Amino acid sequence: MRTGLKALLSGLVVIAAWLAWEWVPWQRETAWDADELRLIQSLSLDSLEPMQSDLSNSVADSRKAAEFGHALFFDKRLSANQNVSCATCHQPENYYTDSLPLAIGLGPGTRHTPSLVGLSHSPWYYWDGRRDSQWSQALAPLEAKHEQGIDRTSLVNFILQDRQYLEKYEEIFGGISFGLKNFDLLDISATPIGDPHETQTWEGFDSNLKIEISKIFSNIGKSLAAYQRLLQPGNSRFDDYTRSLQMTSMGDDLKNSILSQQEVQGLKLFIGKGNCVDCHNGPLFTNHEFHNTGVIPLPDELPPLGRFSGIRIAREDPFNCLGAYSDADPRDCIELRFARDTNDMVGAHKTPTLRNIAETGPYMHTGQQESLEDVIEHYNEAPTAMVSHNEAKPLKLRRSEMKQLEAFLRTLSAPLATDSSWLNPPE
Amino acid sequence: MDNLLFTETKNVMGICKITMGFISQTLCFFALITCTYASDTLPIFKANSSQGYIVRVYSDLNPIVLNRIHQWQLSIERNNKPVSDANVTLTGGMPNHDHGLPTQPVVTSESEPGRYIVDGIRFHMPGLWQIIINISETEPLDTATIEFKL
Repeated sequence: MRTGLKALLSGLVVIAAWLAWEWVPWQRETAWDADELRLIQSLSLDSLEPMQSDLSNSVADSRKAAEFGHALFFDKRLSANQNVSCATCHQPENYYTDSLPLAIGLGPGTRHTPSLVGLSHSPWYYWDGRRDSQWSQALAPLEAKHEQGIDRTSLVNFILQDRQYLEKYEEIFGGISFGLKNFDLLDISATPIGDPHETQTWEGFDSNLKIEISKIFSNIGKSLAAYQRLLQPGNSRFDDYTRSLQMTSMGDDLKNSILSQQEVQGLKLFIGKGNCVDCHNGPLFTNHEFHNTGVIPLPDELPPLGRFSGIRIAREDPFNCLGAYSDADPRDCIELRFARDTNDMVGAHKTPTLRNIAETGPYMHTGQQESLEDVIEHYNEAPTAMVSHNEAKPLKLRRSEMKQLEAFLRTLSAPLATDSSWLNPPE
Repeated sequence: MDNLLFTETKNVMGICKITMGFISQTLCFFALITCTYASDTLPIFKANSSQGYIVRVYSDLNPIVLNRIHQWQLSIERNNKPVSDANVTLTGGMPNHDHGLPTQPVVTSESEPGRYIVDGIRFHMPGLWQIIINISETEPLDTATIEFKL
């Protein structure tokens, strides 16, 4: 009897010790050393460099093009059923995501909708980097059958027939060619990437007509990009904290009122033991690159090739930086010219920004992870990748540390720095 | 680093430390660089090989920062003369992460004798990086491996 009691007590002690180890947060040193301070400052919005110009898009920073793109972004008439716009999935009230695991346009999509906030700083678009500019990316959903599903000929015809849009277009890009104005596009569905009927019709077009239509199509993308470049992240509590660290006159009590102890400990893990900053670095918390982190595909789906196929698609894209519709000198297309395409890109997907990450779930390229807790759990285990190899190593964080990390990630949310007039449909 | 034939420590602008070595079987030499700050006109890395090659690396992004694609220039000389018309290539990666560079840098031209332009360099993660510079005038290939921390 006494032996049994001893065994029971021993068991309880072991369980209590394990629970304490996992769940009781340790009070660590919160003073930062010079390397940590440098790293923290590099993550601050104050370190964000001015957005680089997009040399492939001559109207990227044109106010008029942004206004035109603003109208197009919210216009549901830019779809086959007149009921889907860019804003259907990229919803301003949800930081330009849709809160769904997979996007739903005209039909179910195959990828989780990424946030557009701050995305214009990236050289690559889509989870697999299959587009090399924001304007070439903007073109793809317009024609995709499961998204907006409007072929480029119908889209161009719509712009030509809408007096307001045509006026805006011609003000930005110059007059429509005489040949196109006199070609009756009404009720013609044609595109080189559509269904057999559409592609057949497209093939029947004169080559100049194809170029004229694609030129207007590309300018629509360039205007949409000009608008999206305005969508920038705002100042978060984390940014306030980084500033407070530079103010020697500010007392510790005041600094600690900006971030809680739990959040500060989470920051310490983020730049240290958690290895998060390896990929989520810089003021946007992304290196804009591609990594295989062993994300498990959806049930019944083969693991995607990720960047390995994405870069090949980008090179073939007629709207890429080196293409006929780009405004760049080919020598300026350095990202595309020197992009890596080797086998280690298999299964690699783009590092998303962590700005506003608490508001933009679910997570991963197919929305596999429902919550931040799930994501941290994934990296804590770092499962073996189904294709190629998982670059991440198991973190072996305790439960309390995982909670601290999550608390820190929640400090990165903030209203956009963009004027609210851009966040609603134009009047 | 067991096969080091020689080791040198070089201070560029008082900050950079370079340790170089040579692996006899593969004609490799190593440079360990722990920091990359220097002025625009000074090389950010410099390394000598026992075969007499001197490689100086200049960067148009100085100091090097993460996530910015930029250009390097490699000045290569031997016996106090620029090494011209050599076949020079560059690869690299992060040995601790088991992945390569995020880009495929290319030697696009030789701007002047012994001065090779490398376009498309970018680093996207903090930590230890390894850059391998292959120099081939005549066989065998001479390979320089630079290691540095960002």
